[in-house]
Amino acid sequence: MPKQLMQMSIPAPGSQGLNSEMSPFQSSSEFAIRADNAVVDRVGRLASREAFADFIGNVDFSEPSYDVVRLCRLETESVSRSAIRVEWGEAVWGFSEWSGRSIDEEIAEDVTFGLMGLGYQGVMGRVEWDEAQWSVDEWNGTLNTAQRPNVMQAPLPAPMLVTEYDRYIAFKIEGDQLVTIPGILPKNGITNSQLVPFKDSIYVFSKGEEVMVYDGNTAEPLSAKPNYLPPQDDNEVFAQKINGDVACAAYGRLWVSGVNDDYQTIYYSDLLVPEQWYDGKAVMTDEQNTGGIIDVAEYWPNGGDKIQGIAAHNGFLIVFGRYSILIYSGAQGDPAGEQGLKLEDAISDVGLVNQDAMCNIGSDHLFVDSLGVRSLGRVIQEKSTPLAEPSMNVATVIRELIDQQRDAVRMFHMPSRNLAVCLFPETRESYVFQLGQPSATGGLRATRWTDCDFYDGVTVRTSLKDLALLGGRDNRGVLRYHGYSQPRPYKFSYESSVLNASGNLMQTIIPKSMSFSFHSKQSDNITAKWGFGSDMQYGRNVRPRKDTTSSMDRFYTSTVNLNGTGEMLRVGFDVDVNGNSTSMQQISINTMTGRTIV
Amino acid sequence: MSTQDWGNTLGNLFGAVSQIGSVYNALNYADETATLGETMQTDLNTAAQQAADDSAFQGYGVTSSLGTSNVAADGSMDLGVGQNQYHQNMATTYGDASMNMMGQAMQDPYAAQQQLYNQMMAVQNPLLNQQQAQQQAREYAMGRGGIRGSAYGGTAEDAAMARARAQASNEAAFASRQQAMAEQMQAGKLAQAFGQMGLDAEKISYLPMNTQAALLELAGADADRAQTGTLTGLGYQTQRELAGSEANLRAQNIANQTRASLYDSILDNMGGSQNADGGGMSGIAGLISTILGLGE
Repeated sequence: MPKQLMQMSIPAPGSQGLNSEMSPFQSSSEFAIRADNAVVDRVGRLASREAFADFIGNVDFSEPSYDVVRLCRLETESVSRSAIRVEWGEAVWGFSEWSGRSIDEEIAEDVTFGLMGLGYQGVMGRVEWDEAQWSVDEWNGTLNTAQRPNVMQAPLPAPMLVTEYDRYIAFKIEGDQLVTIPGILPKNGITNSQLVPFKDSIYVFSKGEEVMVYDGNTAEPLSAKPNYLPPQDDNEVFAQKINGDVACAAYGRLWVSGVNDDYQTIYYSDLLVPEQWYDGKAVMTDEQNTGGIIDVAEYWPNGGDKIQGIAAHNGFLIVFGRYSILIYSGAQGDPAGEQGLKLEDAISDVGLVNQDAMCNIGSDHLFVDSLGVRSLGRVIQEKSTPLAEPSMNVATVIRELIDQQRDAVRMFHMPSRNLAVCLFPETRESYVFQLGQPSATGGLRATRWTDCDFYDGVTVRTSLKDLALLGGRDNRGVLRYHGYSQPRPYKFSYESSVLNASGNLMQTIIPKSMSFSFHSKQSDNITAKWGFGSDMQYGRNVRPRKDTTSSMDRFYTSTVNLNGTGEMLRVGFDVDVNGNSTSMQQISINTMTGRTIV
Repeated sequence: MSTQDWGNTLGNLFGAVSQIGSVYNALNYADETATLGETMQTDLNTAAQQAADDSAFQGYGVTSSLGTSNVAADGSMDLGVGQNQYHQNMATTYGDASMNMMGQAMQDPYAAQQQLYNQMMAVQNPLLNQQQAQQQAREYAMGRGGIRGSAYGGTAEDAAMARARAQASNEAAFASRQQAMAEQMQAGKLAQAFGQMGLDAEKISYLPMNTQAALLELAGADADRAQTGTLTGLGYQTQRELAGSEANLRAQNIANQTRASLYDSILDNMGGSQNADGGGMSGIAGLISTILGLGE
């Protein structure tokens, strides 16, 4: 006989992110079994991620069918040409107030209205970035007050180097266009190239190809530089051209491995003189040259390995092998000097799957090992092992993905969103780690993104704000992680673990209704899902509120009736994201308990 | 013919006879004198030859504990004593040593330097190798084994080690140079000393000869004195023989003159003399004439 109606609440559902490692029968509502296209918002709620919005899709050549775009920031703090849209005519500022003049000065962020600019006669205008109806690629770059009165010129960070590897095309952003840079055309695949910003130029390292240098205007091989000095001594020139593909810029030098296919040796350039390399001649060409060579072959803790990546963090130079990590201190000065490089630690059985599968998040350095995403962190200084494992909450699933996409998996940091993205390009999914406070298990709070139409990510800091840009795929050019509108709508999904209302898992549960408290402008895009055990077989749209949409985000609580009966109740929702964000505050479920299974 | 005439004639005859006799005698005596002279010359030649033979140098000699030395009549000398063999051997030994030292002194200094340098480095190398091994071990332990910097060729420690080696090498090179020079100088000095010793030994080896020569010289004085005696005796003998010959000659001459005068007087007495007016003959002729009265 059914018992009394019980109400279960899941406050902040999935606020601890995904957890594939706990038993589905473990009642821990803070963790989610599914958290697709979600992030944990600033107050700890599970929220919809922002869109992979169109940003720049125009290209300057006839066949713009590039597939993959990689991004590299050339100048980080400049604000110059290109465009954003400036929209006037919001409720507060009517269109008539707009002067038709550009507002490329004194743009500042207003607490209430966002970015504000100063227009004609001191009239303020609101600056908006990529509203749904005004995608940037619609703008032709010309100020047209007649037809597009609300589009005008305003600052955008540039230039940025954009390189497409599958078709060997290099771009830079000019205005709202991707402009090809014929001088730097890497010929190798995505996983065998690196773009390294250094000294206001970008150095393109590609396996077997000479380093190409692009300073924003001129592209040329490194050896074309007048003071180029290849690594050499009195007996031989070790490499006439630097042609490695594992590279890093750190401590005023370029560090490169893979030169002449040698992945046991790192060549490092002279301090702030990237054209000069090791000069072991008795009479040096430049006596100030401190370039050099590091042979790590004898220092692999497992007897042998291959350099997969080079990184710098916290004063250390970190050399990643496939199965081991060498951590050197003293890279800041003269590495060969008395206070120079010193092997601080050699970590075995932990390595890097490929050179792009790592990112520095400032306070830590994350990298992808075959067992998951790892963190070097401060453990370097504290000499405490083992290394932290940010991906421990999703270890099982991410290991399988890493195993399947070992050469393609990549990581990048989105500092403006405090996220670290571990992207699996082949399945177009990402596991996204919320930086900052870890989850209750010690692992970082993780969510999963689907439909990842990008291959790379970079954050451009400007005097206005940070731009989280993505190197798009499928001819989409450069995307921007921004807003909640993208060409293909996406679903923000959540599934809970098993809810144990009665404390007895082996008892029938009869769900009656479920209400969702959420924060959004929209209330008609939520589908409730529930089921028993692993099968989420039930789904029903949540009843929208009368005022379906709002001009501003607000709290809604919407209810849906449930049906079905079974054991091990699980609930969830899908949110069709089509322009508005949604943050789930709480889920409440009214159930009745049925018979106890004996 | 008158007596006078006869006298005169007699006188003249006797005169002539006397004159003829005188002439004859005179010639005879002259011949004798000449013969005597020749005889004397011959005798004097003989005596002179004898004197020359007798006064000729006969040589002399001296005998000492060192040996017997002779000066032959022809002036050749047989010292009869040679160099002292021991000292001569010493001189040879010293000379060889000197030559050896001189050879060393004259060797290319670089070769000696190199040899000394090698020796010094051979002494230092084990320590340096040990230090280098320790340094490399430390370097390896620090993970710096594979590092090469432009400024050092390897690491700074490698460069320091190389500097230490270079410094050791430089010091060894400098020291070897100094040592080589000193040894060369020492060899030169030794060569000089050995040479001097060789010379001294050589000189000393001649001391018996010198001594013998001195003795011979002393003997020479004695020989001189003996020769002087001989010569003096010969002089006296010669003088006496010459004086005897002269006395003989004078005696013969006087005898001859006496005989000639006698004959002359006899002949004069036989032929007499006439006075200016032709009268008055004297002598045998006068006597005969007188006897014969031819003179009146």
